[in-house]
Amino acid sequence: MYGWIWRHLPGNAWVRALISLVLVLAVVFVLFQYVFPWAEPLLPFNDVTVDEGSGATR
Amino acid sequence: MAGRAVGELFITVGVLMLLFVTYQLWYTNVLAERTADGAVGSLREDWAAGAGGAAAPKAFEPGQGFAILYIPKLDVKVPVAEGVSKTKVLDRGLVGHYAEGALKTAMPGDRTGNFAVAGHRNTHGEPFRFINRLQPGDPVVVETREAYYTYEMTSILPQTPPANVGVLRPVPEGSGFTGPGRYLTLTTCTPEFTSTYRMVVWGRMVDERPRSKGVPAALAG
Repeated sequence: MYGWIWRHLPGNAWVRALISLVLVLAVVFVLFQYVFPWAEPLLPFNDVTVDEGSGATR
Repeated sequence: MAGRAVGELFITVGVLMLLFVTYQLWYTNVLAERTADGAVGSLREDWAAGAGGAAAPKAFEPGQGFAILYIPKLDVKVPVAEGVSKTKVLDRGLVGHYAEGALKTAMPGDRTGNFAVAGHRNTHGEPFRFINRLQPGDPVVVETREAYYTYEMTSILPQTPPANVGVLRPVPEGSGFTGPGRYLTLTTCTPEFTSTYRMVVWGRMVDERPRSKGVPAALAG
């Protein structure tokens, strides 16, 4: 997959490296800003409340 | 070629997990600090603007901030919002007041009852990270639009199952309190970084001071 992306990027090695870096940063940004905040309440970590059945806030 | 794809998949999943841990342990605290500071500021503005004006609303919307909680010993200053929703309250760095359904608890201004709140032990500002270090007698102050309510820590339940809702009762089970009174309950998770059990800390109100009389001794100096 990564090899395929590399081969399809334009320019010489330096330009490709730069574009790759931008792509990586964009992915990290999307993950931190949208994906992780969405996924977090669905995962059974960090439940701090007492509640009946304890399923309500998970 | 198939072996290579599988390898890349594993590496990707590993990096993804590391990134998620980074997000949890670092980035959520950065975000929570920002929102909590903002919420404290806007609460103070609202109170200053409303001073002497219209009466405070009888009920607060879920997610709406209405108080500031101070634990001087732990250097904690955190806004309290209505409800214990993860997305609306707890994961925004706020402490949540048990205010809905069967788990509804009293407000600090009520004549008797138990003001119960939940907060994160880790991540999202981790306001309750070190509540296990509180000793009997340590002050916890709740500031609202009307007054400063000073509580004194009385007892701790180091570990209890998450289904133990008796700890939220008006006279909390296991707290050692025997009759009706004005109590404070803090709940968080334990051991740290897990959700296996809950830790509960109780306090009893020792002072109620109208805002007009200034900050209580526990916050001064």
